Amino acid sequence: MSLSRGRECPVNLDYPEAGFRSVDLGSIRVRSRQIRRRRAAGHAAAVLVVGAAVVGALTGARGYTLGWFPPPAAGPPAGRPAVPIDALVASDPPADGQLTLISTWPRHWTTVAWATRGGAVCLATYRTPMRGGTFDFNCPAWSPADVPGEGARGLSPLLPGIFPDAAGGRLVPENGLATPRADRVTVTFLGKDFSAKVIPVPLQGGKTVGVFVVWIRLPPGLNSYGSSQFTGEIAYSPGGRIVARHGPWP
Amino acid sequence: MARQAEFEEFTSFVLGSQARMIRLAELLTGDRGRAEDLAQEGFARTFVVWRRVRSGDPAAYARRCIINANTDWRRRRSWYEQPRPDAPDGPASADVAAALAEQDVVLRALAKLTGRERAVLALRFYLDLSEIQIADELGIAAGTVKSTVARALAKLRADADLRSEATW
Repeated sequence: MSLSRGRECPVNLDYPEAGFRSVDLGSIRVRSRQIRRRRAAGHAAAVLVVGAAVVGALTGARGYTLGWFPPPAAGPPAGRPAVPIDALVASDPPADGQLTLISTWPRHWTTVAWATRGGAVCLATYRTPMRGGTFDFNCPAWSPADVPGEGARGLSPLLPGIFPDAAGGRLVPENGLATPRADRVTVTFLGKDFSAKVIPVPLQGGKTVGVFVVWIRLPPGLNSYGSSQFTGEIAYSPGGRIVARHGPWP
Repeated sequence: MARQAEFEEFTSFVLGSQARMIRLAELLTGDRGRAEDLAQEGFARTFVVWRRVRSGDPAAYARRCIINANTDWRRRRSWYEQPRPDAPDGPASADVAAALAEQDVVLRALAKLTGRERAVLALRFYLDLSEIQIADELGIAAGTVKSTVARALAKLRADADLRSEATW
């Protein structure tokens, strides 16, 4: 059966293939083009949203909505004048033409979010001033199916981001969506609680979704982490009542 | 290098390494279909930076992409579903059935390990990488690799299901 012989591992990982399997080179090529386009769009977006950081820093207001984009027209976005941000708008346009400032913490880091016309939620986190184009661009970060509604499932999957130069590599962002009734979310990581304010982001049709970014401080000596180290996530209403909860997880 | 020649070079890299990459992805995910998607994603990310990595160790880069993509995927769906090896579809010949049965035993055993334990075991015992190489690829300390391997092996040795399979 599966026991390996003469090797240290109790199972044979080099088991025989049940049939020939191969990857699709055409799809790989298409996907790589998609990644390139997204990266290029991300660079353009990051440059533009540097302004958002400045506005955010000046106003000190999280949740401040920045109207960078014109509201979407009925026609395709390709008809608009060619400006750098159009690369992003063309692929994932904000539903109402707006970015929402989610966080300006830690110092030099800014996170903005927006909802697309398709109902997905996108996220960009970037450093100001830009250093070597370091940023995290996720669009879509959450599909429409991940967007929490008013029901029991009030929290989305957490989406990790990695910024090795934030606080010497000890701070990493965890992004998430919460029911619009949530005001604050607390995430438990390795037994410690980390909190973040939930910011409403407009969806199409007048609804909103809560977006948050929790910065996790990694303990010394821990060079990587995984989902098993998160043991709970709780969303609270403005009055401190629990409105959604996940965990404990395996 | 002309774009077409570049793609041909990349194609030959894919053809030469796809079996290992799909198996690596399968050991990480425990899911045949997902493994092929993950391997494709790893190859696509590698092609994006092909000019930079082609003269170095493109296989190491692709492996890293596969492992990272798997981590992202696990995190995204972590509280919607748990890893579960797929049951084989439909009837199969005796050889294929035996291969699938063996695969099933291995994947069920690996499904009880953490993501990092699976990754470390796959790199160590399927791809025969050294502890130093694994540490480098996963961005963790060599000592962590060693302890993770030891913990994973101990779990497998203690696996009652695996022991009952061995008595056949």
